[in-house]
Amino acid sequence: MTDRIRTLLSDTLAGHRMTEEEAVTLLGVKDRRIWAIASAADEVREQKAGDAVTFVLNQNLHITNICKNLCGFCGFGRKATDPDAYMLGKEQVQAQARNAGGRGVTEVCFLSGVHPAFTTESYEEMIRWVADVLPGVDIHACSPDEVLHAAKRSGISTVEALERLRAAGLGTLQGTAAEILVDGVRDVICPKKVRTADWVRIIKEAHQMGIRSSGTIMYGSYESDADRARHLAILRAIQDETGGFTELVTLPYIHQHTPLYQAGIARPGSTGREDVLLIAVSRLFLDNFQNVQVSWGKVGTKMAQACLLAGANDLGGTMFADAVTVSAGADEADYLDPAAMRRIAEDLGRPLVQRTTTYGRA
Amino acid sequence: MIRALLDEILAGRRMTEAEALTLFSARGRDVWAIAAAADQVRQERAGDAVTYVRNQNLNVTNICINTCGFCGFCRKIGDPDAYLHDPAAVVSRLRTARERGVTEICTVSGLHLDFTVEDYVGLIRRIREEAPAAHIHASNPQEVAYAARRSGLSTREVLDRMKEAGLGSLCGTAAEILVDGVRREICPGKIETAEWVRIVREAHLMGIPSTATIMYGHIDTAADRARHLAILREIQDETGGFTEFVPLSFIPWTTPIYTSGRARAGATGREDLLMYAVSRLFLDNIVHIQASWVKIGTKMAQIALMAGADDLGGTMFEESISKGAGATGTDYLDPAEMRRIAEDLGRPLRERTTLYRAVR
Repeated sequence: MTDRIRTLLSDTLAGHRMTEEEAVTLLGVKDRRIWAIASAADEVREQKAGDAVTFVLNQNLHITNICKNLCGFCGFGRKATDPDAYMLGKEQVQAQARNAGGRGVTEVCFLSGVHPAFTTESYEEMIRWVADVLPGVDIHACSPDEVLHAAKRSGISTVEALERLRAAGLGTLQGTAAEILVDGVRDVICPKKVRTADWVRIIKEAHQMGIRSSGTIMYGSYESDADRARHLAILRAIQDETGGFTELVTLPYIHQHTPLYQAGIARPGSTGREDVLLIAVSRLFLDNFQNVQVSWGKVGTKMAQACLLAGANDLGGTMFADAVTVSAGADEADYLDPAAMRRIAEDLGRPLVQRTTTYGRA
Repeated sequence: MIRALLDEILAGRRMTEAEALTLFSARGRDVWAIAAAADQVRQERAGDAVTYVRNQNLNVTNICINTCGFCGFCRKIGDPDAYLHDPAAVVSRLRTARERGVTEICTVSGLHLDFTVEDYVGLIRRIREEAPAAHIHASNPQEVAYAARRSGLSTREVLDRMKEAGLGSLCGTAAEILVDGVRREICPGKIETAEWVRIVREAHLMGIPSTATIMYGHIDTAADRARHLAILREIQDETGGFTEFVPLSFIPWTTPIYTSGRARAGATGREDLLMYAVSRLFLDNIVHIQASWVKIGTKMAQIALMAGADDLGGTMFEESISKGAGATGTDYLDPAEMRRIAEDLGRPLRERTTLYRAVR
């Protein structure tokens, strides 16, 4: 192994804060040095997050697939006029929430299109539908893109929108719609979504109001290693300032049924090497994040387990539904039984531990 | 302790079976040290090329006298989706294969209750007629034993006839786990370990090479896997007839041993990685190790290429056995995608023949 990579890893283990350039270097490694990187990341994972492999008993709620964005990497969003467009009403949402309650979930996660007609009032209403039925549950909803949209549509500031959503019962914000926090990439993959600067601003506003959020990255479509490193640098800087991120959620691009891939613009998703390195380098770079989640729904359970040895400590949620990932082309991405999660964890000699949205014990 | 062991193996000492067991049991980031060592050996032994073969798979029938517990493919006569391709269907597939320019036709099937040696030899002849340029990679020790029994011949005579008809190499399948205690549970109708070994040796010594396989991740223990590898290594020491080692990760979903709760839900990612890495380090006399994208998916297959594997198997064009057990997307992997996988590792993709020569 060249001394450069070995030195960088041992410096990082000793406490050196990795630079963005160093992250790019590590992301570009193509040979067995990736195992040294994975190993170092696993060491940091052990120090930062301990041995527990965590998961949350949660339910995804798809309220609508009608979306103003129709991002090129997405197979889920529809126009209102599409034949398979839908929007659920109060009865249906509450029925799903009751179902979720029956399953003993600690979190309900909104996973919907951003309906062009939604206002802040719409989101307040939907949140209340769920809060009324499941009073103790963490409602994990709204991305910065949705907050911006809701605020604009209601003619209020994003701070005010966040306050109202919290008053309605919002527990934690979703750090989604991040995709890649580089406007040049966003121009290509999601031109209608919130711009980087607004995403950052709104996340900070939420954190500073005491509303925590996840942080996410959706990688493997169009962006470069430099873009990924830039994205991680932005998240780290926000976390330095606010400490509000609960976790990094890594989302590999699922390409099969998406316009970007079919148009020949995006590549067919990340390779296994890229998946392992993204997890490992995130763990090494984001020294102010405790939790790194691997998406079993996107990479499969075998890869997910490998990633748990390469810096990840969390397996995400039981979900019970994930039409977004499934519609992009992933089979059976909608449910993983905790028994299967336990097997994955214990095969590594680690305990499976159920957590809350904010990483307390469930 | 693992570090010291790896250093000794890298320096050239032959691993013992007990040491293989130790490595199979690694659970933490030791796995990465083992993978790195295996990748180093892969590079020294097999070079950097990621190879693949343009092959066509053909399963003539899914009707089988056995009902191996790990199999979701086998059917009985009268089952709604039982099939036996008639000669026209076989010829049609072979013609397609010829048009595709495959260099190998790969065929195994269920043990049809009516088959005799003539059916196996006849198929080989038909393949040679319809696709004369293709290497015929057919049958396995189980089929050879079955043909021998059905026709009252010795296995040697069966192999002779197959070779004469055009057999290029034998599939090293039906190995499953070469431990009789395990075989009794998962495939009691199959030949026992000693018979499998005898027939493979016989084939090798007659100039018929074969692949070597293991099917793991069900009820097998790490000790069983180590034992299996030891048997393969011993055969290879004697005959040199194995062209490659192909680990086959158990696909559980629709199989009786899984649905009955007897077997676990397949190998974990850790177990898959260690199978590649430990076999690379242990099988110092087999040059090529194939990552089975059919069983573990392309992401894991690529990881395997950095943990001891050097080959990506075949294009296949048709696949029913893993599909029967519940695997999806198994029919075809485009060489363009194989190239992407290889080049993402900074390695060249090279087409090979069944016997690992370059394709012009």
